[in-house]
Amino acid sequence: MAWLELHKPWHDTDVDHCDVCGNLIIHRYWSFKSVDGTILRACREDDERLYHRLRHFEPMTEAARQATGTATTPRPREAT
Amino acid sequence: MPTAMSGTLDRVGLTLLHKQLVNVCDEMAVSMMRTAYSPIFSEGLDFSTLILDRDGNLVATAGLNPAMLGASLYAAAWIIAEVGAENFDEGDVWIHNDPYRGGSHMPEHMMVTPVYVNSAIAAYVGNIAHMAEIGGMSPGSFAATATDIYQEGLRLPPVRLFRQGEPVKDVWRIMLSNHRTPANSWGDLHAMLGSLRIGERRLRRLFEERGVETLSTAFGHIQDFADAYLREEIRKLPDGVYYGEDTFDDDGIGDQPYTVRLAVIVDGDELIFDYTRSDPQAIGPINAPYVVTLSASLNGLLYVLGRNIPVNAGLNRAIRVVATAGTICCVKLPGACVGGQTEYQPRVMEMVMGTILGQILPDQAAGASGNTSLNFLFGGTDPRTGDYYAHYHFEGNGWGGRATSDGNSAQIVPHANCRNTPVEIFETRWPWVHEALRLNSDTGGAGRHRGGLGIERVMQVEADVITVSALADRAKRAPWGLWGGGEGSTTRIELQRPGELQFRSFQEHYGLVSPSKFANVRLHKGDKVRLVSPSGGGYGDPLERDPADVAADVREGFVSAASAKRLYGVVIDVAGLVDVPTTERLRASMRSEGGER
Repeated sequence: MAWLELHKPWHDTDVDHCDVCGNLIIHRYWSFKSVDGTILRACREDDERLYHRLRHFEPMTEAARQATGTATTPRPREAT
Repeated sequence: MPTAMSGTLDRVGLTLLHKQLVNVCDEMAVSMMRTAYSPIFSEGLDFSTLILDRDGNLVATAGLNPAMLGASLYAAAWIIAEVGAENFDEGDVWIHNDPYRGGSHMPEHMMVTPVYVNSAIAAYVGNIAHMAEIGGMSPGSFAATATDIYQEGLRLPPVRLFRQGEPVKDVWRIMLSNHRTPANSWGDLHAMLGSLRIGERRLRRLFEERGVETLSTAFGHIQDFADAYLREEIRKLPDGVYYGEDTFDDDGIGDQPYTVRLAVIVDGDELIFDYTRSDPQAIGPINAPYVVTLSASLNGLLYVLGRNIPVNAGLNRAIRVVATAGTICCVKLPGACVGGQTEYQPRVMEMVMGTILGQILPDQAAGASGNTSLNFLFGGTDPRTGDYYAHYHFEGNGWGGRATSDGNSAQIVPHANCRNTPVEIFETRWPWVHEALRLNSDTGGAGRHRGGLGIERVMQVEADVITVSALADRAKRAPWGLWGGGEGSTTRIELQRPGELQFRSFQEHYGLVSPSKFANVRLHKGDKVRLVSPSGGGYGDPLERDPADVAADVREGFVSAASAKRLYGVVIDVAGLVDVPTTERLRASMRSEGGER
């Protein structure tokens, strides 16, 4: 877990995306290890917490998806 | 008389200051509107004006184009981060249109300039504007069959357009030689520049009157206030996960659909918009850059939550938008993405405010609008002047019914807040003659509150050749209704050649993959085009609609007597009034049978 420099030559006009949220990475990134050991590059330090929050909500998200299905006109309902 | 301020401002003082800053943005906007060459600026108002703090965080914006909110929040901050504040000299103007760096799509160019006070940067002013022509494979720079960014026009990473007040002529020459209508670009870019100069003068005067540190502190407090306000509103929502999805007809290259899947996680005073289950990036140009997905999320939220929340960077603290790079929601280089801003964003924004947050805030939600901008592009040589022209036209459509009223008719999609181009301007500027521009009767989604009506526009080519393109959606899947409301109607883009008896779709004429996306079709004198925009979805059970309102719709021509009976269970007599006993019997019968809605 550390801030690392993103080294790009001036003539490289491509961009780098955050592995957690998709946002742009500029000049440096927050590096941390995912649960499966992969090293992830994040645009901000808080994205490590975001990564774990998303994992925490994963079962509820799947349940909400199953409940809603592909319907585009759901009825009002209580929160999952 | 200058007003001296010291220390921190109270809430009233902050509100007044914020209004003052918004007024500066408004003045910048009026300048741009009045001095631009292209109708998309002067008539369409497809631009935003911004005041940013010395870190590039948005402090105030004119209330013009919410579609640019994501870009307004990030583009300037990212430019400053990428090139370094030390490279912003007094009089410098930086420009970029890179959708991978905070731009919404390439036609929209951002300019930003520093405001120097006492030899130091005190703030920045900026603007974002949709230029009508920036080169690429199609006139109007909106190629529905583009398969990469390089076909969509000239891409500019952040570069200086002015250095210490002097034009950087090399950049100007590269830009103007790649645009099909360089004279218009010259005028529009100078309109943007003039707008910046006005903002710079006004803001400098404010700093001189009130002091740099006082004002800079207030800029921070204005953002803190928006953050706190939004968190308070979010805290009122029940914690949980709310899911929805919506599907695009196609990407213009193949005929397969593309689906956006969104889970909105309400967690205390924070919201996470999780798009990670969405389809991979399309080959065609319906993909969205990250900031467009942010715009769609935040705009949808603001529409249902906070009508009075000041719009600034403080809104971007309590929410997180999560998308996977390389999906339709977060395009990666070199993915085509010009349609993300005009097709994807309204679709996703309305999904947020309708089918997703509507689950917990049904009274704040609305049925779907046509949610396509129905972009119609054309260019050629005007026989009246011999000059080359190009235009980007967007069309009004019907909005969805909502808890308190019917949907608006013939309005530009809700996320963009733009205006259409009047027929008189249209025919003065370009070689078309209109045969019709009217509401598309009997197509609004039925409901307790009816969907608004789309339009039908018929116009004839008056030049030897015009090259046309279109980028739209909702040709296969109609806008959805809510809580029992009916669907709206679909998009149609049609052509009638001289001697033909009826209109047929461009798809049928040319064997195209998509009914709503094509590029570079050459039309000839006498050809007629018909654009039919979709109508909005209904809200609530049509059988709950006040019969008097249904009768009024019939008298106004919004709904036919046959549809009044079939969809609403309302029988209209020969005088145009409700036949009350027959209507009551019919509605009772329809309720018991669960008849067609």
